[in-house]
Amino acid sequence: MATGTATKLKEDEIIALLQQRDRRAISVLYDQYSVALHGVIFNIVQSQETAEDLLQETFVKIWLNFSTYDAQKGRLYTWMLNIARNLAIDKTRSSKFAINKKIQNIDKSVNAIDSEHEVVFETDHIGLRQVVEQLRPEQKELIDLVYFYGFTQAEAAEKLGVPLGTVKTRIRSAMGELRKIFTN
Amino acid sequence: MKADQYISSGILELYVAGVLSDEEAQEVKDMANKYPEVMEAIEGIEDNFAKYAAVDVPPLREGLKEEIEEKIRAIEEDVPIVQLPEVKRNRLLVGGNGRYGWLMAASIVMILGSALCDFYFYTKWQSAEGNLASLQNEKRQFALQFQQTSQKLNEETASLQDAQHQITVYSDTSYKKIMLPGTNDSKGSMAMVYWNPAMKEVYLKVKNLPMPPAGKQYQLWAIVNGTPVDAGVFQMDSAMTGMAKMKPIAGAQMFAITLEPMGGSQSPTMPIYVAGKTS
Repeated sequence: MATGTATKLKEDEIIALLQQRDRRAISVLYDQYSVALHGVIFNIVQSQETAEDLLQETFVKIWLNFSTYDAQKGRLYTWMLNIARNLAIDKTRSSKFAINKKIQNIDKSVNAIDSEHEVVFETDHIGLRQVVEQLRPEQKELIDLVYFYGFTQAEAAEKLGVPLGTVKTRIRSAMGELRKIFTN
Repeated sequence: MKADQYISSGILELYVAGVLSDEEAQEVKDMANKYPEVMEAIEGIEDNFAKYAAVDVPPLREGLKEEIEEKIRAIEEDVPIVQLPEVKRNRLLVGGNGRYGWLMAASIVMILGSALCDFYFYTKWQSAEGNLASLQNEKRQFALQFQQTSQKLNEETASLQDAQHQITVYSDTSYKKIMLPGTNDSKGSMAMVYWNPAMKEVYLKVKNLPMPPAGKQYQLWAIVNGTPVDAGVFQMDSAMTGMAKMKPIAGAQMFAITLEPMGGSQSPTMPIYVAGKTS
Protein backbone atom coordinates (compact mmCIF):
# COMPACT_ATOMS: atom_id res chain seq x y z
CA MET A 1 0.00 0.00 0.00
CA ALA A 2 1.33 3.40 -0.98
CA THR A 3 1.97 5.66 1.97
CA GLY A 4 3.59 8.95 2.76
CA THR A 5 1.50 11.35 0.75
CA ALA A 6 2.79 14.83 1.40
CA THR A 7 -0.55 16.61 1.25
CA LYS A 8 -2.78 16.36 4.25
CA LEU A 9 -6.36 15.29 3.75
CA LYS A 10 -9.16 17.41 5.13
CA GLU A 11 -11.39 15.94 7.77
CA ASP A 12 -14.41 15.52 5.53
CA GLU A 13 -12.28 13.69 2.96
CA ILE A 14 -11.15 11.25 5.65
CA ILE A 15 -14.72 10.89 6.90
CA ALA A 16 -15.80 10.03 3.35
CA LEU A 17 -13.13 7.33 3.17
CA LEU A 18 -14.24 5.90 6.51
CA GLN A 19 -17.87 5.92 5.42
CA GLN A 20 -16.93 3.92 2.33
CA ARG A 21 -15.06 1.51 4.64
CA ASP A 22 -11.96 2.25 2.60
CA ARG A 23 -8.98 0.91 4.55
CA ARG A 24 -6.69 3.57 3.14
CA ALA A 25 -8.35 5.77 5.75
CA ILE A 26 -6.32 3.96 8.43
CA SER A 27 -3.06 4.87 6.75
CA VAL A 28 -4.12 8.51 6.46
CA LEU A 29 -5.35 8.62 10.04
CA TYR A 30 -2.10 7.18 11.27
CA ASP A 31 0.01 9.64 9.30
CA GLN A 32 -1.98 12.65 10.41
CA TYR A 33 -3.13 11.86 13.92
CA SER A 34 -0.99 9.15 15.52
CA VAL A 35 1.32 11.72 17.12
CA ALA A 36 -1.55 13.58 18.79
CA LEU A 37 -3.35 10.43 19.91
CA HIS A 38 -0.20 8.77 21.15
CA GLY A 39 0.77 12.00 22.93
CA VAL A 40 -2.46 12.02 24.88
CA ILE A 41 -2.24 8.35 25.75
CA PHE A 42 1.42 8.55 26.76
CA ASN A 43 0.81 11.58 28.95
CA ILE A 44 -1.86 9.64 30.82
CA VAL A 45 -0.26 6.19 31.13
CA GLN A 46 3.42 7.30 31.17
CA SER A 47 4.60 4.04 29.62
CA GLN A 48 5.64 3.69 26.02
CA GLU A 49 4.77 -0.01 25.73
CA THR A 50 1.29 0.47 27.15
CA ALA A 51 0.79 3.62 25.09
CA GLU A 52 1.64 1.83 21.86
CA ASP A 53 -0.74 -1.01 22.68
CA LEU A 54 -3.48 1.44 23.52
CA LEU A 55 -2.83 3.37 20.32
CA GLN A 56 -3.38 0.18 18.40
CA GLU A 57 -6.61 -0.39 20.29
CA THR A 58 -7.63 3.18 19.57
CA PHE A 59 -7.31 2.69 15.82
CA VAL A 60 -9.24 -0.57 15.92
CA LYS A 61 -12.00 1.17 17.86
CA ILE A 62 -12.03 4.09 15.43
CA TRP A 63 -12.45 1.64 12.58
CA LEU A 64 -15.09 -0.56 14.21
CA ASN A 65 -17.14 2.16 15.91
CA PHE A 66 -17.01 4.76 13.18
CA SER A 67 -20.78 4.47 12.64
CA THR A 68 -21.29 6.03 16.08
CA TYR A 69 -19.41 9.18 15.10
CA ASP A 70 -21.81 12.11 14.73
CA ALA A 71 -20.36 15.00 12.74
CA GLN A 72 -23.04 17.25 14.25
CA LYS A 73 -21.55 16.83 17.70
CA GLY A 74 -17.95 17.71 16.92
CA ARG A 75 -14.81 17.13 14.91
CA LEU A 76 -13.58 13.67 13.97
CA TYR A 77 -10.32 14.71 15.64
CA THR A 78 -12.14 15.32 18.91
CA TRP A 79 -14.03 12.07 18.68
CA MET A 80 -10.80 10.11 18.16
CA LEU A 81 -9.15 12.02 20.98
CA ASN A 82 -11.98 10.93 23.23
CA ILE A 83 -11.53 7.28 22.34
CA ALA A 84 -7.78 7.46 23.02
CA ARG A 85 -8.29 9.34 26.27
CA ASN A 86 -10.96 6.97 27.57
CA LEU A 87 -8.91 3.86 26.78
CA ALA A 88 -5.91 5.38 28.55
CA ILE A 89 -7.88 6.48 31.62
CA ASP A 90 -9.55 3.05 31.85
CA LYS A 91 -6.12 1.49 31.74
CA THR A 92 -4.81 3.54 34.66
CA ARG A 93 -7.79 2.34 36.70
CA SER A 94 -6.94 -1.34 36.27
CA SER A 95 -5.14 -2.85 39.22
CA LYS A 96 -2.44 -4.57 37.17
CA PHE A 97 -1.45 -1.22 35.80
CA ALA A 98 -1.00 0.25 39.28
CA ILE A 99 1.47 -2.49 40.26
CA ASN A 100 3.50 -2.06 37.06
CA LYS A 101 3.54 1.66 37.69
CA LYS A 102 5.13 1.18 41.11
CA ILE A 103 7.84 -1.04 39.68
CA GLN A 104 8.53 1.52 36.99
CA ASN A 105 8.80 4.29 39.52
CA ILE A 106 11.49 2.35 41.35
CA ASP A 107 13.28 1.79 38.04
CA LYS A 108 12.99 5.45 37.29
CA SER A 109 14.56 6.60 40.55
CA VAL A 110 17.44 4.20 39.98
CA ASN A 111 17.94 5.47 36.47
CA ALA A 112 17.60 9.07 37.53
CA ILE A 113 21.10 8.94 38.99
CA ASP A 114 22.76 8.95 35.59
CA SER A 115 19.99 10.72 33.72
CA GLU A 116 22.25 13.71 33.29
CA HIS A 117 24.06 11.84 30.54
CA GLU A 118 20.83 10.97 28.77
CA VAL A 119 20.48 11.96 25.14
CA VAL A 120 17.22 13.60 24.21
CA PHE A 121 15.92 11.88 21.12
CA GLU A 122 13.57 14.36 19.51
CA THR A 123 15.70 17.37 18.73
CA ASP A 124 12.88 19.45 17.31
CA HIS A 125 11.00 19.00 20.54
CA ILE A 126 13.71 20.49 22.68
CA GLY A 127 12.84 23.99 21.57
CA LEU A 128 9.18 23.42 22.06
CA ARG A 129 9.73 21.84 25.43
CA GLN A 130 11.59 24.89 26.65
CA VAL A 131 8.84 27.09 25.36
CA VAL A 132 6.12 24.99 26.93
CA GLU A 133 8.02 25.26 30.18
CA GLN A 134 7.45 28.99 30.01
CA LEU A 135 3.87 28.27 30.96
CA ARG A 136 3.20 28.73 34.64
CA PRO A 137 2.73 25.36 36.35
CA GLU A 138 -0.90 26.11 37.17
CA GLN A 139 -1.50 27.04 33.54
CA LYS A 140 0.06 23.81 32.34
CA GLU A 141 -1.95 21.84 34.86
CA LEU A 142 -5.18 23.33 33.54
CA ILE A 143 -4.26 22.70 29.91
CA ASP A 144 -3.36 19.11 30.75
CA LEU A 145 -6.63 18.56 32.62
CA VAL A 146 -8.64 19.85 29.68
CA TYR A 147 -6.59 18.42 26.83
CA PHE A 148 -5.38 15.12 28.18
CA TYR A 149 -8.07 14.21 30.67
CA GLY A 150 -11.04 15.89 28.98
CA PHE A 151 -12.14 17.82 32.05
CA THR A 152 -14.90 20.37 31.47
CA GLN A 153 -14.35 23.78 33.01
CA ALA A 154 -16.75 22.90 35.82
CA GLU A 155 -14.94 19.61 36.52
CA ALA A 156 -11.59 21.38 36.54
CA ALA A 157 -12.95 23.92 39.02
CA GLU A 158 -14.10 21.13 41.30
CA LYS A 159 -10.85 19.22 41.00
CA LEU A 160 -8.73 22.28 41.83
CA GLY A 161 -11.16 23.62 44.43
CA VAL A 162 -11.47 27.06 42.88
CA PRO A 163 -14.57 28.95 41.68
CA LEU A 164 -15.77 28.25 38.14
CA GLY A 165 -15.31 31.88 37.13
CA THR A 166 -11.66 31.77 38.16
CA VAL A 167 -11.08 28.57 36.22
CA LYS A 168 -12.68 30.07 33.13
CA THR A 169 -10.44 33.13 33.31
CA ARG A 170 -7.35 30.98 33.90
CA ILE A 171 -8.10 28.59 31.06
CA ARG A 172 -8.67 31.51 28.78
CA SER A 173 -5.31 33.07 29.64
CA ALA A 174 -3.52 29.70 29.54
CA MET A 175 -4.90 28.94 26.08
CA GLY A 176 -3.95 32.45 25.00
CA GLU A 177 -0.43 31.89 26.24
CA LEU A 178 -0.23 28.59 24.40
CA ARG A 179 -1.50 30.18 21.21
CA LYS A 180 1.20 32.84 21.51
CA ILE A 181 3.86 30.17 21.98
CA PHE A 182 2.79 28.36 18.83
CA THR A 183 2.40 31.39 16.61
CA ASN A 184 5.92 32.60 17.42
CA MET B 1 -13.58 41.49 13.52
CA LYS B 2 -16.15 39.35 15.29
CA ALA B 3 -14.40 36.19 14.15
CA ASP B 4 -11.06 37.44 15.55
CA GLN B 5 -12.53 37.98 18.97
CA TYR B 6 -14.18 34.61 18.82
CA ILE B 7 -10.90 32.90 17.92
CA SER B 8 -9.04 34.52 20.81
CA SER B 9 -11.78 33.74 23.34
CA GLY B 10 -10.36 30.25 23.99
CA ILE B 11 -13.62 28.47 23.17
CA LEU B 12 -12.11 26.82 20.07
CA GLU B 13 -9.51 25.05 22.20
CA LEU B 14 -12.26 23.71 24.44
CA TYR B 15 -14.16 22.62 21.33
CA VAL B 16 -11.19 20.66 20.01
CA ALA B 17 -10.65 19.12 23.46
CA GLY B 18 -14.29 17.97 23.35
CA VAL B 19 -15.30 19.46 26.68
CA LEU B 20 -18.11 21.79 25.56
CA SER B 21 -21.82 21.13 25.97
CA ASP B 22 -23.78 20.10 22.86
CA GLU B 23 -25.24 23.60 22.47
CA GLU B 24 -21.87 25.31 22.82
CA ALA B 25 -20.33 22.89 20.33
CA GLN B 26 -23.16 23.59 17.90
CA GLU B 27 -22.46 27.31 18.21
CA VAL B 28 -18.78 26.76 17.37
CA LYS B 29 -19.77 24.61 14.41
CA ASP B 30 -22.08 27.33 13.11
CA MET B 31 -19.33 29.94 13.48
CA ALA B 32 -16.86 27.69 11.66
CA ASN B 33 -19.31 27.26 8.80
CA LYS B 34 -19.89 31.00 8.65
CA TYR B 35 -16.30 32.19 8.97
CA PRO B 36 -13.54 30.32 7.11
CA GLU B 37 -10.96 31.88 9.45
CA VAL B 38 -12.63 30.18 12.42
CA MET B 39 -12.39 26.82 10.61
CA GLU B 40 -8.72 27.53 9.88
CA ALA B 41 -8.13 28.39 13.51
CA ILE B 42 -9.68 25.07 14.58
CA GLU B 43 -7.36 23.16 12.26
CA GLY B 44 -4.42 25.18 13.58
CA ILE B 45 -5.37 24.31 17.15
CA GLU B 46 -5.51 20.64 16.23
CA ASP B 47 -1.97 20.84 14.84
CA ASN B 48 -0.70 22.76 17.86
CA PHE B 49 -2.34 20.34 20.21
CA ALA B 50 -0.47 17.49 18.53
CA LYS B 51 2.79 19.38 19.10
CA TYR B 52 1.92 20.12 22.71
CA ALA B 53 0.98 16.51 23.38
CA ALA B 54 4.20 15.25 21.78
CA VAL B 55 6.57 17.19 24.06
CA ASP B 56 8.77 14.68 25.93
CA VAL B 57 7.01 11.73 24.32
CA PRO B 58 9.19 9.01 22.76
CA PRO B 59 8.64 8.38 19.04
CA LEU B 60 6.42 5.49 17.97
CA ARG B 61 8.21 2.29 17.06
CA GLU B 62 8.90 1.48 13.43
CA GLY B 63 6.32 -0.81 11.91
CA LEU B 64 3.50 0.02 14.32
CA LYS B 65 1.52 1.53 11.47
CA GLU B 66 1.81 -1.68 9.43
CA GLU B 67 0.80 -3.75 12.46
CA ILE B 68 -2.32 -1.66 12.90
CA GLU B 69 -3.17 -1.90 9.20
CA GLU B 70 -2.67 -5.64 9.32
CA LYS B 71 -4.85 -6.01 12.40
CA ILE B 72 -7.69 -4.09 10.80
CA ARG B 73 -7.28 -5.98 7.55
CA ALA B 74 -7.61 -9.23 9.50
CA ILE B 75 -10.73 -8.00 11.28
CA GLU B 76 -12.30 -6.91 8.01
CA GLU B 77 -11.48 -10.01 6.08
CA ASP B 78 -12.38 -12.15 9.03
CA VAL B 79 -9.06 -13.96 8.78
CA PRO B 80 -8.10 -15.40 12.12
CA ILE B 81 -4.74 -14.10 13.21
CA VAL B 82 -2.61 -17.13 13.99
CA GLN B 83 -0.21 -16.28 16.75
CA LEU B 84 2.40 -18.59 18.08
CA PRO B 85 1.74 -19.17 21.74
CA GLU B 86 4.41 -17.38 23.66
CA VAL B 87 6.98 -19.79 25.08
CA LYS B 88 8.24 -18.32 28.32
CA ARG B 89 11.96 -18.49 28.70
CA ASN B 90 12.83 -20.83 31.48
CA ARG B 91 15.64 -19.60 33.66
CA LEU B 92 16.54 -23.17 34.69
CA LEU B 93 17.52 -23.91 31.12
CA VAL B 94 20.04 -21.14 30.92
CA GLY B 95 23.50 -22.26 31.82
CA GLY B 96 22.50 -25.83 32.69
CA ASN B 97 25.40 -28.33 32.75
CA GLY B 98 26.77 -31.44 34.51
CA ARG B 99 24.48 -34.09 35.88
CA TYR B 100 21.34 -32.16 35.09
CA GLY B 101 22.25 -32.20 31.42
CA TRP B 102 20.04 -35.11 30.45
CA LEU B 103 17.18 -33.65 32.47
CA MET B 104 17.60 -30.37 30.57
CA ALA B 105 17.60 -32.20 27.25
CA ALA B 106 14.44 -34.07 28.21
CA SER B 107 12.76 -30.87 29.35
CA ILE B 108 13.67 -29.12 26.15
CA VAL B 109 12.19 -31.94 24.13
CA MET B 110 9.06 -31.86 26.25
CA ILE B 111 8.67 -28.12 26.07
CA LEU B 112 9.26 -28.08 22.34
CA GLY B 113 6.81 -30.95 21.92
CA SER B 114 4.24 -29.21 24.03
CA ALA B 115 4.71 -25.95 22.16
CA LEU B 116 4.30 -27.78 18.88
CA CYS B 117 1.12 -29.39 20.16
CA ASP B 118 -0.11 -26.03 21.38
CA PHE B 119 0.56 -24.56 18.00
CA TYR B 120 -1.04 -27.46 16.19
CA PHE B 121 -4.24 -27.40 18.22
CA TYR B 122 -4.35 -23.64 18.28
CA THR B 123 -4.19 -23.52 14.49
CA LYS B 124 -6.82 -26.25 14.26
CA TRP B 125 -9.05 -24.36 16.62
CA GLN B 126 -8.55 -21.13 14.75
CA SER B 127 -9.41 -22.69 11.42
CA ALA B 128 -12.46 -24.42 12.93
CA GLU B 129 -13.57 -21.06 14.26
CA GLY B 130 -13.04 -19.59 10.83
CA ASN B 131 -15.03 -22.38 9.17
CA LEU B 132 -17.85 -22.00 11.64
CA ALA B 133 -17.99 -18.26 11.04
CA SER B 134 -18.13 -18.67 7.28
CA LEU B 135 -20.78 -21.38 7.53
CA GLN B 136 -22.88 -19.17 9.76
CA ASN B 137 -22.44 -16.40 7.29
CA GLU B 138 -23.59 -18.63 4.44
CA LYS B 139 -26.59 -19.70 6.44
CA ARG B 140 -27.52 -16.09 7.02
CA GLN B 141 -27.19 -15.39 3.30
CA PHE B 142 -29.48 -18.29 2.42
CA ALA B 143 -32.06 -17.26 4.98
CA LEU B 144 -32.00 -13.73 3.62
CA GLN B 145 -32.37 -14.93 0.03
CA PHE B 146 -35.23 -17.22 0.96
CA GLN B 147 -36.97 -14.40 2.76
CA GLN B 148 -36.58 -12.09 -0.21
CA THR B 149 -37.86 -14.69 -2.65
CA SER B 150 -40.91 -15.58 -0.61
CA GLN B 151 -41.68 -11.90 -0.11
CA LYS B 152 -41.50 -11.37 -3.85
CA LEU B 153 -43.78 -14.34 -4.40
CA ASN B 154 -46.31 -12.91 -1.94
CA GLU B 155 -46.25 -9.59 -3.73
CA GLU B 156 -46.72 -11.25 -7.11
CA THR B 157 -49.62 -13.35 -5.81
CA ALA B 158 -51.26 -10.28 -4.30
CA SER B 159 -51.00 -8.31 -7.53
CA LEU B 160 -52.34 -11.27 -9.52
CA GLN B 161 -55.33 -11.48 -7.18
CA ASP B 162 -55.85 -7.75 -7.59
CA ALA B 163 -55.84 -8.08 -11.35
CA GLN B 164 -58.30 -10.99 -11.28
CA HIS B 165 -60.55 -9.07 -8.96
CA GLN B 166 -60.45 -6.04 -11.25
CA ILE B 167 -61.55 -8.14 -14.20
CA THR B 168 -64.52 -9.38 -12.16
CA VAL B 169 -65.44 -5.86 -11.15
CA TYR B 170 -65.17 -4.61 -14.73
CA SER B 171 -67.27 -7.41 -16.18
CA ASP B 172 -69.73 -7.88 -13.34
CA THR B 173 -72.97 -6.13 -14.26
CA SER B 174 -73.95 -5.75 -10.62
CA TYR B 175 -71.19 -3.08 -10.40
CA LYS B 176 -72.34 0.34 -11.55
CA LYS B 177 -69.76 2.32 -13.43
CA ILE B 178 -69.94 5.98 -12.42
CA MET B 179 -67.88 8.54 -14.28
CA LEU B 180 -66.48 11.40 -12.18
CA PRO B 181 -65.35 14.14 -14.58
CA GLY B 182 -63.25 17.12 -13.45
CA THR B 183 -65.08 20.17 -12.14
CA ASN B 184 -64.34 23.74 -13.23
CA ASP B 185 -61.63 23.78 -10.55
CA SER B 186 -59.84 20.80 -12.09
CA LYS B 187 -60.63 20.58 -15.76
CA GLY B 188 -59.39 17.49 -17.53
CA SER B 189 -59.37 15.36 -14.40
CA MET B 190 -61.20 12.07 -14.47
CA ALA B 191 -61.96 9.19 -12.13
CA MET B 192 -64.32 6.22 -12.14
CA VAL B 193 -66.20 4.59 -9.28
CA TYR B 194 -67.34 0.98 -9.54
CA TRP B 195 -70.09 0.54 -7.04
CA ASN B 196 -72.14 -2.46 -6.00
CA PRO B 197 -74.95 -1.03 -3.81
CA ALA B 198 -76.24 -4.45 -2.76
CA MET B 199 -72.76 -5.56 -1.57
CA LYS B 200 -71.91 -1.98 -0.52
CA GLU B 201 -68.60 -2.36 -2.35
CA VAL B 202 -66.86 0.67 -3.80
CA TYR B 203 -63.79 0.60 -6.08
CA LEU B 204 -62.02 3.66 -7.39
CA LYS B 205 -59.98 4.06 -10.54
CA VAL B 206 -58.14 7.31 -11.20
CA LYS B 207 -57.61 8.26 -14.83
CA ASN B 208 -56.21 11.71 -14.29
CA LEU B 209 -55.69 13.85 -11.18
CA PRO B 210 -52.91 16.30 -10.33
CA MET B 211 -50.24 14.74 -8.04
CA PRO B 212 -51.09 15.74 -4.46
CA PRO B 213 -48.50 18.00 -2.76
CA ALA B 214 -46.48 16.62 0.19
CA GLY B 215 -48.59 16.04 3.28
CA LYS B 216 -51.86 15.95 1.28
CA GLN B 217 -54.00 13.08 0.06
CA TYR B 218 -57.20 12.73 -1.98
CA GLN B 219 -60.38 11.57 -0.26
CA LEU B 220 -63.52 10.10 -1.80
CA TRP B 221 -66.92 11.20 -0.55
CA ALA B 222 -70.33 9.66 -1.09
CA ILE B 223 -73.11 12.25 -1.04
CA VAL B 224 -75.99 10.61 0.82
CA ASN B 225 -79.17 12.70 0.93
CA GLY B 226 -77.16 15.89 0.59
CA THR B 227 -74.59 14.98 3.28
CA PRO B 228 -70.99 14.00 2.39
CA VAL B 229 -70.04 10.61 3.87
CA ASP B 230 -66.37 9.59 4.07
CA ALA B 231 -65.60 6.83 1.56
CA GLY B 232 -61.90 6.70 2.43
CA VAL B 233 -58.54 8.14 1.34
CA PHE B 234 -56.40 6.48 -1.31
CA GLN B 235 -52.85 6.28 -2.63
CA MET B 236 -52.42 7.80 -6.06
CA ASP B 237 -50.22 5.00 -7.42
CA SER B 238 -52.53 2.12 -6.50
CA ALA B 239 -55.61 3.99 -7.75
CA MET B 240 -53.84 4.83 -11.03
CA THR B 241 -52.27 1.47 -11.88
CA GLY B 242 -55.10 -0.65 -10.52
CA MET B 243 -58.14 -0.03 -8.40
CA ALA B 244 -58.39 1.19 -4.83
CA LYS B 245 -60.92 -0.54 -2.60
CA MET B 246 -62.81 2.14 -0.70
CA LYS B 247 -65.05 2.11 2.38
CA PRO B 248 -68.42 0.36 2.05
CA ILE B 249 -71.27 2.62 0.93
CA ALA B 250 -74.91 1.48 0.73
CA GLY B 251 -76.81 4.37 -0.81
CA ALA B 252 -75.48 7.47 -2.48
CA GLN B 253 -76.66 9.99 -5.05
CA MET B 254 -73.22 11.23 -5.92
CA PHE B 255 -69.44 10.58 -5.49
CA ALA B 256 -66.86 13.34 -5.26
CA ILE B 257 -63.13 13.72 -4.55
CA THR B 258 -61.42 16.51 -2.57
CA LEU B 259 -57.82 17.13 -1.47
CA GLU B 260 -57.33 16.71 2.29
CA PRO B 261 -54.50 16.59 4.80
CA MET B 262 -52.79 13.15 5.16
CA GLY B 263 -55.21 10.67 6.69
CA GLY B 264 -58.33 12.47 5.52
CA SER B 265 -60.86 14.87 7.09
CA GLN B 266 -64.23 14.62 8.82
CA SER B 267 -65.86 16.86 6.24
CA PRO B 268 -64.67 17.79 2.76
CA THR B 269 -62.41 20.77 2.06
CA MET B 270 -63.33 22.75 -1.04
CA PRO B 271 -62.73 22.67 -3.97
CA ILE B 272 -64.12 19.47 -5.38
CA TYR B 273 -61.78 18.01 -8.02
CA VAL B 274 -64.07 15.47 -9.67
CA ALA B 275 -67.71 14.53 -9.07
CA GLY B 276 -70.38 12.36 -10.69
CA LYS B 277 -74.00 11.38 -10.07
CA THR B 278 -74.85 7.73 -9.51
CA SER B 279 -77.88 7.80 -11.83
